[in-house]
Amino acid sequence: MKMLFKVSLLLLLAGQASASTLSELRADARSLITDAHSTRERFSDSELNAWINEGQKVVDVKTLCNYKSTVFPLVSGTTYYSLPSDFIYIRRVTRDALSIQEMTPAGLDGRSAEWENQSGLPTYYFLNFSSRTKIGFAPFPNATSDLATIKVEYISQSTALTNDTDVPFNAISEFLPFNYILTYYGAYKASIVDERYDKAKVFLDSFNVMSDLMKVRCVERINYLPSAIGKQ
Amino acid sequence: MKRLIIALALWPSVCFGQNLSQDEKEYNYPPFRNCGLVTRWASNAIPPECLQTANNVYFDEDLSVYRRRGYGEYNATPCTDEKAIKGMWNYNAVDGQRYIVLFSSQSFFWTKNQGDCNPIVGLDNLNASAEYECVQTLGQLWCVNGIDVPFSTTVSTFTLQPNIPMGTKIGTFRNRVMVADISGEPSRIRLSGEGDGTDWTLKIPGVSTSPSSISISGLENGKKVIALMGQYQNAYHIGLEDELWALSGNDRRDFVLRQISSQIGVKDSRSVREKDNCLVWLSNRGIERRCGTTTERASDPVRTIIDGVIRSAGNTRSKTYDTQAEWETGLYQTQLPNQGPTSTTIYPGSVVPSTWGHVNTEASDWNNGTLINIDSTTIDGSILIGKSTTTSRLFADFSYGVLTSTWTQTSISPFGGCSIVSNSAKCTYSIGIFANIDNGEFYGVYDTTISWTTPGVSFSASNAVIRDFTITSNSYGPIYSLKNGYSYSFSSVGTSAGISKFKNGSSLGQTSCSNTGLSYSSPIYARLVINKSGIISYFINNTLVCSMTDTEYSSAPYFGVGIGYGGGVDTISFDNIKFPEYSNSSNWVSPVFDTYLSTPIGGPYYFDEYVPVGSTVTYQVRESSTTTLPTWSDWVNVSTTTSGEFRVPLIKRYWQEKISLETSYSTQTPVVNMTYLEATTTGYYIGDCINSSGITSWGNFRPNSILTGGSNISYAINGGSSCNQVTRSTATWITQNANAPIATSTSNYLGVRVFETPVTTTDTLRLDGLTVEWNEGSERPPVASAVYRDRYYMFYTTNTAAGSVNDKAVVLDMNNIWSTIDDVYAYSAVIYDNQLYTGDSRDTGHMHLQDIGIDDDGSSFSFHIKTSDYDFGNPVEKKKLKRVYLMLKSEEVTGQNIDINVKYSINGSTTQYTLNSVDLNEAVETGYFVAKFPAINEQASTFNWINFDISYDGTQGPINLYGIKAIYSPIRME
Repeated sequence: MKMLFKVSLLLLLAGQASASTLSELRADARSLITDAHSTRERFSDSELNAWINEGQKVVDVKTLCNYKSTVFPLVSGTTYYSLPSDFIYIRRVTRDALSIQEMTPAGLDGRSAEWENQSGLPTYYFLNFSSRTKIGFAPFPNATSDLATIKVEYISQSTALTNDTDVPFNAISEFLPFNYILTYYGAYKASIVDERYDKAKVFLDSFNVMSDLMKVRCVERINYLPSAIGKQ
Repeated sequence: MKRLIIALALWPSVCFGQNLSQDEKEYNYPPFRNCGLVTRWASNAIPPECLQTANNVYFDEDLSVYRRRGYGEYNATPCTDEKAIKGMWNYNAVDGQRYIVLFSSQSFFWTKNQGDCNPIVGLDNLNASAEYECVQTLGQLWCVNGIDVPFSTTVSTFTLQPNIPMGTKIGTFRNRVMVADISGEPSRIRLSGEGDGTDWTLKIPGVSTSPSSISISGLENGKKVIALMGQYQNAYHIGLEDELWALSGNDRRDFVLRQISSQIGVKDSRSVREKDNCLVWLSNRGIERRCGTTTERASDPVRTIIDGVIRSAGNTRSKTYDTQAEWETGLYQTQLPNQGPTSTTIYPGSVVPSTWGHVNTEASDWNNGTLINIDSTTIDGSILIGKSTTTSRLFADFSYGVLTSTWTQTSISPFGGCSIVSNSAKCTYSIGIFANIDNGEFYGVYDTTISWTTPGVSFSASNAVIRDFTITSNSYGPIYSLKNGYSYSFSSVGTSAGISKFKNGSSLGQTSCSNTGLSYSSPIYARLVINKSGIISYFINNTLVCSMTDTEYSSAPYFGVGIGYGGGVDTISFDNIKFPEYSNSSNWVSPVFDTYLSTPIGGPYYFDEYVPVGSTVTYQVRESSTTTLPTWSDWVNVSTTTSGEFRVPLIKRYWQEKISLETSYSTQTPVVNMTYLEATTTGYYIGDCINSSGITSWGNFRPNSILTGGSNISYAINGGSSCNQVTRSTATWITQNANAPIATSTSNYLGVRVFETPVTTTDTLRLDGLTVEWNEGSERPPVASAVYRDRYYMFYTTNTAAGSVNDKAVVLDMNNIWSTIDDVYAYSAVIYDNQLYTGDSRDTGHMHLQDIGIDDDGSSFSFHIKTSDYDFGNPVEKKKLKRVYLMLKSEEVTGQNIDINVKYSINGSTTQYTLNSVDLNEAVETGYFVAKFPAINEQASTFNWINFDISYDGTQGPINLYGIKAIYSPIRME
């Protein structure tokens, strides 16, 4: 009951928009697990840092709120191009500002058995699942006329928190009110280690509630009120 | 702001800590004061209230685990020479002043609560390596070290006490000074006279207050008094290596020595203290505690520590020569040039210079010599001037006839009614003899019988010795007729006597003599002597009863002798009055005496003689180196008026003696009854070799000798690898001082040479014992001990390296619980003014006042405990440490930074895991607080057994640890 009271109180505070640094998140996590002493700590900073970063990744993949883009030129004779290391999902690709569509390798196979040998101006992009770090184009550029500038918009993974002053979710102001939810993830993991499963459940529940809310909030457009809403 | 609110939201957790989760268990360690330090047994087998480590902590200070206080420098200016303070003793002067007396370097010092170190004038240049023992009694502090001359001191003065036996242990019992470990008598105790520490002369039979000498275990059993432990429960306890004895009784008449134990002894004399009415000391089996009549080993819990102290004590070995058999294992009958042999039989048990002596006291002694005009038969065993048969005077039958010119018979014919009847003069009135002599003495009326049968007869005699007669009358009637001279008379019953001068036969009066007190019913020996100075002396039974001086008749006076009858008619008779006449001179020359000493030293010349006035006896000696062709020296006089006063000045082997007797009076002779002359020589002795194999260092060279006059014994030693090498007279001998460290490098064998140099034979020169000490195995310094605040402290080191010093202590607290102390340097300790003072074991010359402050004279020291390897009741169960709580007291001084580190080890491993530290300033309020130490998740924390190590090393304090709580969760059974 006491824990529910705490979590409820925290929910009420969700709208408070102030950045939480890694050290603050860590300290808050220690408070939750009664490990808040300057010199005598059950869990090390590195442990808590790892758990907080783990929580950030969970939030990233759960909410898909973190957008980023990357631009690179096509190179004659090159099918595959590296994606950023923080890449999670591709959201949109343009070739010289024109959107091109994704087609899976299987779909391309259906269109032509020799699509991988066909060159020309790229009209599709695909992700090779054997190498998710690469984006491929079909047909592949070969002639000078095939070359263009590619822009990839993608769902990114937030930058890992390494310094005590680092702020979660790439310090995006929109997400600042949700920074603190990482505290619960860290406390949740510590409680699991301590076999304090009752506490762990409370912390995980709090984390899930707030991350769910973040997922909703990050795509919510208050002033965008179309009469009909299509699929995003 | 948000974080603040989060904190507020979590306030209950922060404020009230953690409750136990469902699977967590808690364990509160029992108070460690119930067990304390235990190092002997397995760390996982000892109870949880016991500690594997308890260093610089007390359990009896305030019922916490308490960091000891520190110490401070007492004397800002170090004692002279800045050496270790090797001894500290209390001395309470008779005027009420209380002192600490110190020994450091080579000197004694005193201090009196002023933080100084004042020398005791005169007590310097003492042996620096020996250990002094002192005891207060009889108003002074008495000290011995077995090497220097014992002394007593009042701080302001000191007195050497050469009569105290040279022992290393000292105590006091029943107002006596007691000494033990005496050189040559290691298992004997000696006690001074009662109330007199200077009286050590043994008296037989003695009285109650006489000095005592008590042998505990004889001399030759390898036993030695290690400690005069002190008086405990009305008996004085004495510790040998493996025996304990108690001396009880009140005085010499009833001193009783009882053995308390034949197994438990004393290892270190300086470990003995009385604590809480129990005697505590270090023995060969640990630290003992004797309460009442029960002795138990108190150090079992810390046996590993104490064993180290015992083993590092080394083994002091010794070889002692103090019996005839032991001395005779050496060379004593040989001699070197100018060094004669020694004797082991003249004074059994001692080595003394050989002596020779000869006494003339039997007739045969005299008759063996050359007698010239010597009479050796008249007095048996004596010599006197021989009588000349032609000049001796014998008044027999009163018809002797005309005397020689020397003697003139003036009236020998019977007169006054006397007549010669049957060879006796028989008188009915009186009888007398008058003779004149130029100076001399009338005496020697031998074998004369004077008797009378009628009462009322008096006797008057002059110049004669009368004996064997009886007087029963008191009438008086001197016999003289118109003569000038003197007579003496006495009346019967002996009530009066006198000397009379008469002229022309008439008495001029009588000089009264003192009451003779004689009853003439007994024989008397009367004598009248006149000399050339006109002194007339009257003796009865050799006692001068009166004298008179008169020179008128200095030449040829008449002396009368006679008996008179006071009235009536009766018969008086006497006969055989002899007036012997001796030759003017005579002499006796002894046979040649062989002293058997190549370099003799003449002793005193003793004689027993009778030399009357006018006689002389002259004694002379002479010497020669050989008898084959003797070349005798001139005769040398050895005469004085006092027997034994003159020393025989001869230095050659053969002696001869001459006695010359002379007299100026033909009626007298000197008599020599006895002469005795003796010689001694320098003594040369080499002991059998001392096998010191295994030696690590030499100890002291401790002879026990008695020397008087100018006599001297010098010692030399040499070390080597074989017996033969070190016992040769040609070895390279090194001078060795008595009662001093042996001055040679360590070696497997040691030779000892002794030169004994008497000055005369009357000076005592005895080497009664000799002890050579060496150490086998390395040796730590001696321990020191004190009882302070009901705690027994024993300061020690187990380091046996050269220069090692005491730097640790074990503490047996008021509850008889052990802990240790380190970083404390104490060679000596004393309680003064209810505080503990220690003498620095390092070469600083400083004393330290203990149990003050929070640091050790500015230096840090540690606080350290380590719990047992505890299994929380189930050793086969795996457990996971969650957290630990310490119950503490916050810092007393604001601004301190006392970080107490907590670590743990798992399953007896030496690997330690930290739980970090707590600063005593963490308390929200000054006072008591709880510090939580979570188990660090990244460290190993699963255990079957676990111990906690809690420590602080710094210069701050105090630290009070009141308890430990451990939280763990069981995991599974193995």
